[in-house]
Amino acid sequence: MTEPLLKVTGLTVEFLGRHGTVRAVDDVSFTIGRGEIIGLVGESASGKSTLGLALMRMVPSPGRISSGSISLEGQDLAALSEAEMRTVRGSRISLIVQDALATMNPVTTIGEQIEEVIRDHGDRSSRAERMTRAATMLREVRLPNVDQNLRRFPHELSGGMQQRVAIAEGLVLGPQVIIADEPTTALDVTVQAQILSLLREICDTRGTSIVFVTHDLATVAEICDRVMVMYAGRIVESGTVREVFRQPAHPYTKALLSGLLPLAGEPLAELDTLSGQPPRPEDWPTGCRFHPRCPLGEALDHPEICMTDDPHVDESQPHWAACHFAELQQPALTEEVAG
Amino acid sequence: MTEEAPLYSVHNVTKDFARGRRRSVRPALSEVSLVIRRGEGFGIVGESGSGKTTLGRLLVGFDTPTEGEIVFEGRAVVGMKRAQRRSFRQGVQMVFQNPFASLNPFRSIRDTLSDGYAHRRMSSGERDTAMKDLLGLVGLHESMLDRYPHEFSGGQRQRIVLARALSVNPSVLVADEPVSALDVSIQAQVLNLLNTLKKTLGLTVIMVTHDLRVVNFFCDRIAVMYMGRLVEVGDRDTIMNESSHPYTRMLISAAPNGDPEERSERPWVSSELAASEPPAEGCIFAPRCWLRQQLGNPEECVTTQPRARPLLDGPAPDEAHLAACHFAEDVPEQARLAQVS
Ligand SMILES: Nc1ncnc2c1ncn2[C@@H]1O[C@H](COP(=O)(O)OP(=O)(O)OP(=O)(O)O)[C@@H](O)[C@H]1O
Ligand code: SF4
Ligand code: SF4
Ligand SMILES: [Mg+2]
Repeated sequence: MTEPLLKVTGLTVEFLGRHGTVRAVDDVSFTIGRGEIIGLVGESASGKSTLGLALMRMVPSPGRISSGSISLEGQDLAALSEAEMRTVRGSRISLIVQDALATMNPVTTIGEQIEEVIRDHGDRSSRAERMTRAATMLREVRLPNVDQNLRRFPHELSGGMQQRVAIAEGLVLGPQVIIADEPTTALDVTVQAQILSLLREICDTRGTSIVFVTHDLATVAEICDRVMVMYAGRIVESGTVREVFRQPAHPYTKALLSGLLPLAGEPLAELDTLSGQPPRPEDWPTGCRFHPRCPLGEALDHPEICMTDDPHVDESQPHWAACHFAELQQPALTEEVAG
Repeated sequence: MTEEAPLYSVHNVTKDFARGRRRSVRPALSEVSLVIRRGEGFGIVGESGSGKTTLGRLLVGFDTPTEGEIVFEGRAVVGMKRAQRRSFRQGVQMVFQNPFASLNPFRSIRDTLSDGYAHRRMSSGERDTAMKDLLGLVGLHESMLDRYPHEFSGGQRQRIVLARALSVNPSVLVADEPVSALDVSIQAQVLNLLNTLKKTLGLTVIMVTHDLRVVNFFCDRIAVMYMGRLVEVGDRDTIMNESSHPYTRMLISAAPNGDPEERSERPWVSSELAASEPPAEGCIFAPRCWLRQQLGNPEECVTTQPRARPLLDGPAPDEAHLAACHFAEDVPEQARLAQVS
């Protein structure tokens, strides 16, 4: 097997709070191949955005990466100095966020925003050349009327156009990896469809890889190759999107999937629900962190091991789940037992 | 078949927020007519700025129409006498999207709920029992009465907001994006609760949302809005599965279907139909309309705004299925040809 493009091992992010340190991201490992889109799904406080920021080495203080490595083509980003990291950010790994407008300078035109990104990374070409490059990039993300819109200010564009500009900014230095944090959540569904198809196309034509952070499983089904489900700071299930959707192996994934309401056909009479709410880093439960809400644990009459032992996983498997009773969740197996 | 008189009839309602005598080119709401029946789940869907919240606010009487009329239980909302107005205000409650912003952080749940009983003749013991029953109804424990909003999660706060709205015994609940701010696992709890309330209390629930999955789960009938206009209204099944408006078709096909084995086909995505400059005249949807393109750009589309009209020659003729398209009858067939959902 060839080396993966990005290999994350044992990544842990800690925040120093009033009640001591909390681990928002706890011992996370995964890999991404070239041109791959990997979904990172989870609910609020699960740590998905923190993990995305950690990959960029942009965890806000008082947080920090306390252990682990982020190996991009063999180079450990976690070990770089801030000065070294600055040359990597944008050019080899970049970030696109939900609220594109908030990240833009309101008094700088669209063209200049992108021109500045190019200049700040030590490009010595003339300003006119950089502007041409910016325009080419904006055409590639299919911003309409580029010549006109180059001279406009961010607030003069629609939400969908702003998001295209943000994507152009994230792409212009040709990074190998893009972290996209809820990049379509604030957009109307028809615009979302356009942006998702653009991201997919970028991966296919440029070989760029995307870590797609979202709470929405429907968009994961739409564009991701693989998916990682996060709960309480940990990845609890990982696999190809097809397998995870067809045969979720973790009870939490199963619950999330049943919360994905159907768009067509007969509506459900009643939805399956989980009791309680997602925990926060201050009070991650012991053992399996999902145990206070787990329907499988309940069906099995609360096995001791769920409360005491962290489920062990073999992350080298193509599809794995962090559950002591993962096999029981596989529909094929349960059907055999039942039938 | 005898039709019961509708709960609401909305007659040709326009809402223009422009001040002074000048009218906007595109008001927040234009010429909307529809009926809402007693006890139904009625969905108002559309993209950002389509006017759904504006319509919801008019239905509860928070705003008044610039033109047209809203009739509730046979009486025009504007111009109700005082006593009628008071019972309307109580009978129709609205809950908003953000459960964090809509509760006063300095008031306990007891304080918040007791407002609803203020002008009712009740002993404090009776009121206490009523409040506890109400909490039970929305799935919260009575021990929570003396707690404050910050001690609750988003889903719990949304239940409290619902309990507050229910404390005055309304017959209608208008819910604006009631689950959009909630986590998926919590969303299901609140939707089940709304469903139960609808069934057990016979509440009419008007759900304002951009989320097609939520309306498909919850609503009996659905109205689709686009740029301040009603483009289509009909039964859930008709709208979601057999729509007669090109915009409704586009909207539904835009939503990811959630099945990685069968990713949605959207031929329109990469075409110029994606851009959305509103036209000066003709059909509001014309610049983005795949059907117009497919029919070879008929004249009517760019000269005359179609009115929402009943569609009676479909497989299931229904007075209450309206669509605002000159070529609505052709939509199902043409959509299959164009692979739009
Ligand atoms: N109080 C107001 N004053 C002026 N304009 C308003 C007001 N309320 C709404 N509008 C305008 O009316 C139009 C419709 O707005 P509305 O809030 O009804 O849309 P919506 O469909 O609820 O959108 P969203 O999905 O973003 O909530 C928009 O152009 C909006 O800017
Ligand atoms: S280990 Fe136990 S508590 Fe955790 S997911 Fe599996 S069954 Fe549920
Ligand atoms: S009237 Fe014409 S432009 Fe409008 S929706 Fe119908 S076909 Fe499209
Ligand atoms: Mg709204």
